[in-house]
Amino acid sequence: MPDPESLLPLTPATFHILLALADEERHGYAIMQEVAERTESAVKLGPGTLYGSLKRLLEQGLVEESDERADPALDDERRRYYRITRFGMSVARAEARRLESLVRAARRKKLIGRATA
Amino acid sequence: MSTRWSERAYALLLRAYPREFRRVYGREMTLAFRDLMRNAGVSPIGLWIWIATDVARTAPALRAEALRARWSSNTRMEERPMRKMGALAVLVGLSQIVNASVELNAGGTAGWPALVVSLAIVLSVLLIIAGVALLAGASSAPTLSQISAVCWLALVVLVKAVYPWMSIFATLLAVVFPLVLLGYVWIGRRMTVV
Repeated sequence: MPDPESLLPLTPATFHILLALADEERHGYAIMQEVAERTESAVKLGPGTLYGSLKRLLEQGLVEESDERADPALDDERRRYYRITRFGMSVARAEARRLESLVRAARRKKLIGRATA
Repeated sequence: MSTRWSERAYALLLRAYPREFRRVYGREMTLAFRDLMRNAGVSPIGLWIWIATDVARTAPALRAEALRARWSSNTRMEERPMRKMGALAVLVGLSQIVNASVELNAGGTAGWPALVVSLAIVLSVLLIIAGVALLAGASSAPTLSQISAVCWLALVVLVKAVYPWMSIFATLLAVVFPLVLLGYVWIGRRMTVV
């Protein structure tokens, strides 16, 4: 497995997909919904962006397919589910740390204020 | 627009993506599109603009990736026909060397004809090398085959200009085989395109 740092920086779409899969496996539309809800619709992944990113994530071994099953909340169509791999989790953590250090730098420069609880 | 017609229109848009990508993700993308349409409300115009933008932004990049994969698939030609074509290239190369040697003996070793026949011997050696590369399944085999075939076709034009009494058999062999070789490499690449 390559060094997780070697894949950084991730594109915003890629990081959002990994975040969506960090807590549970989801199918494509569920990933789109999770990203839209979490970002209050500031980020909306279109099908092309989502599946183009998923293709690359699968090729890089950051995500894997789990199985194909119907989502009871939607319809009877069987959908392919995706889950994050251990390596994908390492890459997502490395990207989160990278972004955290950027935010700390922005705070030091007083571009943004202190985070409130 | 009904859901059925919307899905048909989206299927047309999906044709902007590479065939292999559509084969793997087309159904999933259509399902995601159906879900988006279901939640789009009564006026899906905004959704269509967003979807069209998404396709326009992502399809060229995926096409470029598929093209890069196509270029890098030079080495993945089918093994059995590759060996047959390699053996044929070696045979044709050897027969051209024999033929050129006979022509050289008959025509003498001076002037343009001798130069052209010598060039034919060099290119025959190149053809044999390409044939051996095909037999060995080397990654350089398709490129060597193409160079060899194109050089042979160029040589035939040159030969016909300065050495018009080249035998019909040798001319045919020098024209037909390079074309067959070029066609084989082209088809081999198309068959392995991702």
